[in-house]
Amino acid sequence: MNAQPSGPAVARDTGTGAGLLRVHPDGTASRGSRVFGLVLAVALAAFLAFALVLSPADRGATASENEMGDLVRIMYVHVPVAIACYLAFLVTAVASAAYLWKRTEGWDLLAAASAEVGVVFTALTLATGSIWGHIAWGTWWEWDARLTSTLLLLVLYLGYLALRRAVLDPVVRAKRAAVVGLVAFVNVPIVHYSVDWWRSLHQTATISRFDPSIDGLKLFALLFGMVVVQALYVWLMIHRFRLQYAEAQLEAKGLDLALAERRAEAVADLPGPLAGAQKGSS
Amino acid sequence: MPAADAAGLGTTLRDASLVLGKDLRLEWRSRVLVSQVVPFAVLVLVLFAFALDPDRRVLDEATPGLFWLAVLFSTLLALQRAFGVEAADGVTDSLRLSGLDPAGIFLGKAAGIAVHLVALQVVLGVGVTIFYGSTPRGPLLLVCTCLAATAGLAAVGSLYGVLSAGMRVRDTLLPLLLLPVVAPVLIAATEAFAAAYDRTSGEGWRWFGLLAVFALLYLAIGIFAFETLLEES
Amino acid sequence: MAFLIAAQDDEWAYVAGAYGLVIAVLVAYAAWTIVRGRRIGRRLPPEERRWM
Repeated sequence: MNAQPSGPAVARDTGTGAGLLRVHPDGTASRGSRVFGLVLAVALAAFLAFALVLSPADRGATASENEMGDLVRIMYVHVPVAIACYLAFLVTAVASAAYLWKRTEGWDLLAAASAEVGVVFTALTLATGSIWGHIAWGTWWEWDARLTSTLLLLVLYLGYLALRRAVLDPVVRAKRAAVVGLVAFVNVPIVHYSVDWWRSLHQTATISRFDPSIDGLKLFALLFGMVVVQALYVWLMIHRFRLQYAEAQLEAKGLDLALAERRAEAVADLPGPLAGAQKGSS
Repeated sequence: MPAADAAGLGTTLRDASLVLGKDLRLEWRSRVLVSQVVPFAVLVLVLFAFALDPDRRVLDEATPGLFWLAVLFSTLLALQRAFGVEAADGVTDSLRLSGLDPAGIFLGKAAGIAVHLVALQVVLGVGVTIFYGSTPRGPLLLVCTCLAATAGLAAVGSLYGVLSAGMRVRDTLLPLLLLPVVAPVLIAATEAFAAAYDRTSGEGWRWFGLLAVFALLYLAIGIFAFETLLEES
Repeated sequence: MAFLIAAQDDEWAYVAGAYGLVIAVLVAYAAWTIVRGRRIGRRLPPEERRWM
C-alpha cells in the first residue's frame, strides 16, 4: 500500500540545487522555472522603475491631446494585463478545441489552468480600468463596450470554473468544459458588437479612450510592460499547469482506490467459491 | 454524395420530430408550462410594476426590457423543467442508447423549448398590452424579433441544459452559465422591440440581423457539439 | 479637462493604488498556487511528478 502521505524515506527537506536555486521537494517548481522566475523578478523591478520613476509624466510640450499627467502610468500596467487576460482565454479556447479534436487529457488540463489564471488577470484589468476611469471620467464604471464585454467575459469564465468544480467524472468534465470554454470565447465578439451598437444608440459622443500619442520612454515602458506581464503569465501557467496535472494524477489515484475498495466490498459480499476465484485472479 | 446527405438530413429531421413529439406529449400530460411557468411570467410582470411605478408612462417606456427579462427568467424555469425531468428518469441515457441522431435530438429539444417560449411570449405580449398599456406599431418586426430571439434562446438553452443535466448543483449553475451567453439576445431583442414599439429610429432590422446570426451560430454549435455532450465518459 | 487639473494632487494615489493592487493580487495568487502545489505534491509520489 502506497497510500501513506509521507512517501519514500529520502532526505526530503533539502530539495535539489543550492542557494536561490534550491527547489522545494514537494512543490511545482523545477530548476528551469526557478531560473525563469528569478529573471522575471529582476525584469519586474526594472519595469516598475521605468513605469513609475524613469518615464516622464504626460504633460509639457510633447504631451498628448488629453494630457493625463501621472495617470498615464496606469496604462503601462492596465494594457499589458488586459492583453494577458485575452491571451489566457485564447489559450483556453485553443486548448478546448484541441481537446475536442484529440481527446487527450493534457489539453483539458491546459484549458483549466489557463482559465483560472485568466480570471485573475481579467479581475485586475477591470480594477485598473475602473481606477483610471474614476479620475478620467469621474465615475467608477462606464457602460462602454470594452468594459462591459470584459465584465461579461469574467462572469463567463467564472461559470466555466464553477462547471469544472461541479462535475465529478474527469472525462465528462473535460468534454463539457471544452464545449463551454469554446462557446465562451466565440461569444466574446458577439457581446462586444452588441454592446457597442447598444451604446452608440444612447449617446452621441464617444468617451475618449486610452489613445494618447505616446513616444520615447513612455512607449518603451508600455512595450516593456507587455513583455514582462506576458512572461509573468507564462511563469504562472507553468506552476498552475503542474498543479492541475498533480491534481489529475491524485484524482485518478483516488478513483482507482475507490474502485478497488468497491470491488473488494463486492467480492466480500459474493458467496464463497466465486469470491475465492476473484481474489485469486486479482 | 448528395443522396447520402439528403438521407442523413431526412434521418436527422425525423429524429428531431420524434423528440419534439415526445416533449410536447410530456408537456400535454403534465401541463407544467401552463400551470407553473406561464403564471410565473405573469407574476414577474406584476412585480416589475410594483418595483417601478404604477405610472403607465414609466412602464410603457420600459416595456421592451421588462418583456425580455420576463422571457429570460421563464426560460430558465422551462429549461430546468425540460432537462430535470429527463435526468430524474434517466431519459438522457435512453436517448443516447436509442440510436437517434444526436443532431436530431438537439434540434428536437430546441424545437420543444421554442414552442414553449413562443406560447410564453404570446401570453406576455397580451400581458404588457393590458398591464402596461403598450401597443406595438411595427407588428412584422415584432413577430420576426420574437421568432429569431426564440430560436437563439432555444439553441443556447438546449446546449446548456444538457450540459448541466445530471448535476447536483444544476439549479444554480445553469443561470450562471446561460445568462452571460444570452446577454446579446437580451440587448438585441430589447432594442428591436423598442423600434417596433416606435420609440427609436429604424434600427430595428439591424438588431433582428444580430439575433438571426446568433441563432444560426448556436444552432450550428449545438448540432456539432451535442454528440460530445451526450456520450458519458 | 478641469477635473483633471483639480485631481492632480491625488493622481499619485490612484497610480499607487493601481500598481499596489496588481502587485498584491498577483503575489497572493502566485503564493496560493505554489502552496496548493506543495500540498498536492506531498500526497503524490515523486515518480509521478513528471517535471522533477
